[in-house]
Amino acid sequence: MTTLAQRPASLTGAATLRTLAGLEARRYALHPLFLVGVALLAAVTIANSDNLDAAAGIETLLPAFLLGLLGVFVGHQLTRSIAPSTEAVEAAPADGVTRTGALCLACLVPGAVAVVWVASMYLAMAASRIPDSAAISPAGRAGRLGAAVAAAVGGPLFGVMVGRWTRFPGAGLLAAVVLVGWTLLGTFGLQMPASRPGTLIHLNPPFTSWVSADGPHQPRWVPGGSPWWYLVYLILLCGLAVSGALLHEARGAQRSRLLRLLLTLALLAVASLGLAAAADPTRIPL
Amino acid sequence: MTLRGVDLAAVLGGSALGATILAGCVAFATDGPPLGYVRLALVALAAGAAYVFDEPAAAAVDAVPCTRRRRTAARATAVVAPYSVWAGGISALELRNAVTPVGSLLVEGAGVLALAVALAAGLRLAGHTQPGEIVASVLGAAVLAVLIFNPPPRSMPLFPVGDGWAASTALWSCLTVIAAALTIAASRDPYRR
Repeated sequence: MTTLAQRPASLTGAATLRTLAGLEARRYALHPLFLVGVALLAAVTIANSDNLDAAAGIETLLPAFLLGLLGVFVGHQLTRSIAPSTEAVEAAPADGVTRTGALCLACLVPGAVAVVWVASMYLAMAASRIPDSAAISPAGRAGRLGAAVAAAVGGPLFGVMVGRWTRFPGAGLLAAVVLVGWTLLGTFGLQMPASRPGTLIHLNPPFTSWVSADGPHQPRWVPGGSPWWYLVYLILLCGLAVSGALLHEARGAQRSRLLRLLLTLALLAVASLGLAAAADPTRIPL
Repeated sequence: MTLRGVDLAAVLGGSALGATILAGCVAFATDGPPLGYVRLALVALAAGAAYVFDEPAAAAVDAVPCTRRRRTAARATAVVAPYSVWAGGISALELRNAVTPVGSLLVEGAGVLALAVALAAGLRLAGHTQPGEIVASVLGAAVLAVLIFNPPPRSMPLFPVGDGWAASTALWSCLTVIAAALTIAASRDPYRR
């Protein structure tokens, strides 16, 4: 008599994606550069905890840099780290699109940390009873902090996309340099007189500063533009990065669908950027 | 000894990117050197320099009758490429706009490139045969962080914009010497440890 072991039910696509995403999320959460970013975020936040009002200028910069920009390196390295074992990986019962999708889902790890950080900032501000400023309304502040969360997710997604499409050494650093260069170009909009073209230049990078000044000892002001439409623009940029990363491994009809999605997201991103810049460009003193 | 083993694609790629950014800086330097972008070029050049000690065939190369110090000296000459780009770019900036602090920026560039080489040499000593990617990422992220956050002390800025050039030059001079000494110390052969 032969005893047959019960055959395990075959994994569905969604279950495979969940399993792979869990593994990739664990790899992400244990990456040294991510841990350094989280530690620095906690340290800087605690150091500024007694002066939350003064931190208004850098509140969005912290997660954007420490989780987003450092995440470019993490996303890129996680993507490229499986390149030496491509033959073994390709034998696994999951196609390239699923593997890339799992990597993209793992990029929610820094997003989760950024959400926790935003919630802690809100609680700290509520506890310290900082009076609402006419320049930064609670809704506007929420939009700006939301943009910081989007930047914390978008950086790693961009790193995954670059890791999928490039093979040359230093591609991760190049991606980070491109993001910083793009952001610096956006600061030219702050040097222009208050106008919609100036706001468009200021808001087109994937990270923007919402508090500026005309000089080191000059009073600070809040530039024009809609933080909520800017948040939508950033989310669409994240979608573009995911679609771009998935496109590398997609074939046939899947590729055509992704190309259509890319085009749609790009058009929507341009439209939302236009709406973000269409708001009143007047600069309000802080 | 020749530069045959050096990953020239990485070194020259970083140099080319740095040269491109510096060319853009020169073009828009009429109102003063755009120091943020100039430092961005330095990040690219440092990344290129970080790859000079990458040796995929380290196991075979370590067996040849030539000390690691001699091989290090030969490979380190490849840093001339990114530094030439830096020196050329800064000189062009000065020609375009005389307020450019040429001396300080040249020392700063030498310091950052020397740090990249020293870190790569240190990692190679620790057993990494291809330290370039790690050093480029870590040093690049660190320089970008300093550029963005401008951490204290303000009296001795690493990358000054307005004041503090003299202190910064002194700091980078010291760092260059220390980095060079570390590179030499980290280039001893493994059997001498």
